[in-house]
Amino acid sequence: MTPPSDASGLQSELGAEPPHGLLELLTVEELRTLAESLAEAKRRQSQALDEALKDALGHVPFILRGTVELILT
Amino acid sequence: MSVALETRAEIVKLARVLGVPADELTYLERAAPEDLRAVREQATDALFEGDRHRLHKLALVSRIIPSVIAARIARWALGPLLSARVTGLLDPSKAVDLAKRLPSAFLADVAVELDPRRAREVVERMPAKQVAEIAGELTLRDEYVTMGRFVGYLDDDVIRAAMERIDDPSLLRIAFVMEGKDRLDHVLGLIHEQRLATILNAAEHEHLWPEALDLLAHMSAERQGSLAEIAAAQNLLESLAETAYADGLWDLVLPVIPAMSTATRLTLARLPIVENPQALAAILHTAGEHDLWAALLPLVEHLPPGPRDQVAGLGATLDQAVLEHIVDLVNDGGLWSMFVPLAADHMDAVGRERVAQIIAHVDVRVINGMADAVERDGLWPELLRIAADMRTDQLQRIADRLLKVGLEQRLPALIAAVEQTGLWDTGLRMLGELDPALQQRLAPVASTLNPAERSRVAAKAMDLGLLDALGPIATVLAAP
Repeated sequence: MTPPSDASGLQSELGAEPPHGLLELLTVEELRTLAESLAEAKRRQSQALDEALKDALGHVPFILRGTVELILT
Repeated sequence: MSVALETRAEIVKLARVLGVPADELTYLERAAPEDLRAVREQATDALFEGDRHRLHKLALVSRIIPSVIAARIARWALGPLLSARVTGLLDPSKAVDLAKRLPSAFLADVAVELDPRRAREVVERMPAKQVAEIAGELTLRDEYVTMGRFVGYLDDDVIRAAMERIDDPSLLRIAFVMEGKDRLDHVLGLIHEQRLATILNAAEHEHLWPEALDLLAHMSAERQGSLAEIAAAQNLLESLAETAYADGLWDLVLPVIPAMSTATRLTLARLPIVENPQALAAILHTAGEHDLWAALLPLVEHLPPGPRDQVAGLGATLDQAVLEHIVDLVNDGGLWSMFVPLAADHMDAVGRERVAQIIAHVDVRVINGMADAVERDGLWPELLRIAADMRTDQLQRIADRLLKVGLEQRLPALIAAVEQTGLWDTGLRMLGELDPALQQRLAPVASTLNPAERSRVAAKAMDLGLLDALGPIATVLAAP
């Protein structure tokens, strides 16, 4: 089934078709809110990962740092 | 667990995945729990897939650095969320080795964020002692939903160790929200009887009967029976029944009744709450609403006279189809010795007439089952009282059916019952009202009586002025 156009944002964020029950139940606004919450969670995770990768290097012994940096970049 | 509570638990889990307070997702409260679970798993996958490439790189790094350093990076650089994301990508033995070097508090943080589907092998390999420590930490934080997600992935030994660190009320709360409740029966089998008793006591003291009853609903009949016995031995049935009434949870209690011992059923049937007409009405309403008559009927025979009257009174007002269904269940459950006296002695004339009407139309199998039970348990007097309210056409149907299932073999017992109870008038009047064709078929049955019995019946019929009405039967009775 092709989801209604108002569900496309959520489908795009999920990378999969949302459960039909939710599509039938939620309003356009609610579907959008859910999609935005997921998008925001992805952004936060990505940012956290950027910082974590930088910080991680600081914990790696000097002798391994070059190799680790090569893997991470 | 009710659908509303299941939905609530799913909202809490989804809020975790999205990193938002659960209160921000109240618009999902109308959603079905299975839809929320599906969207949560999709969201977890999306979050993972979005950074898969970089998470893989982190996992690669873990292969070339010592565990002690990897643990430091996890704790101080990645934090719990990213550590949880990367866990499933690590070599499981490396992940377990790494976890050994991390404090339980941090691992508890990771557990909150971890998707056990993606880290199954790591979770399964975690040592019991460490899982128990994490469980203790999660218990301190009231993280029941988190723990409930992992139960399905842990071995028995690990679960046993973890349960040692979780207090009784928390165990009930975890069981209430856990995923894969089909495993609950097995998990409960790991708990010693003494602990089960303290858990049930916690249900009373901490007002957790709804959780305990939900647990009970997921048990096998055998374990339901054991738990009911423990509850009875701990004098908890009254508190359980009061909660079931107050919270509308009889649908969880009634199915347990068939698994109870007779003594426990008797205890339940004699609780003060059962004498409360509103409470009893609620029980009957629940039995009707959820078709739990088969579960309720074994309790009825233990009820005191007052509640029995009420059950009979309410029973008499049930829809015809429901009453017919109950009569079938009575026959299947061998409960005629409860049902016949209930109808005969506790129902009013209208109720008896309705039962009579049903009995007149049930199939031969049921008639035969009833006649066997009536003969075995000496219930002919009660049955005659029900028959006394039957219309002639109904009596004819019954007589016709009884002829098909060997009435002649039952006749001596019936006559003995008539003699014993002095119900000659009822019995002979019924015979007299049958049409001549049916009387003709009954005549050979009457001839199977011995001469003394025949002459006694004939004398009674004459006394009551009913001999003529017996037609061909009278001829047989009068024969030498």
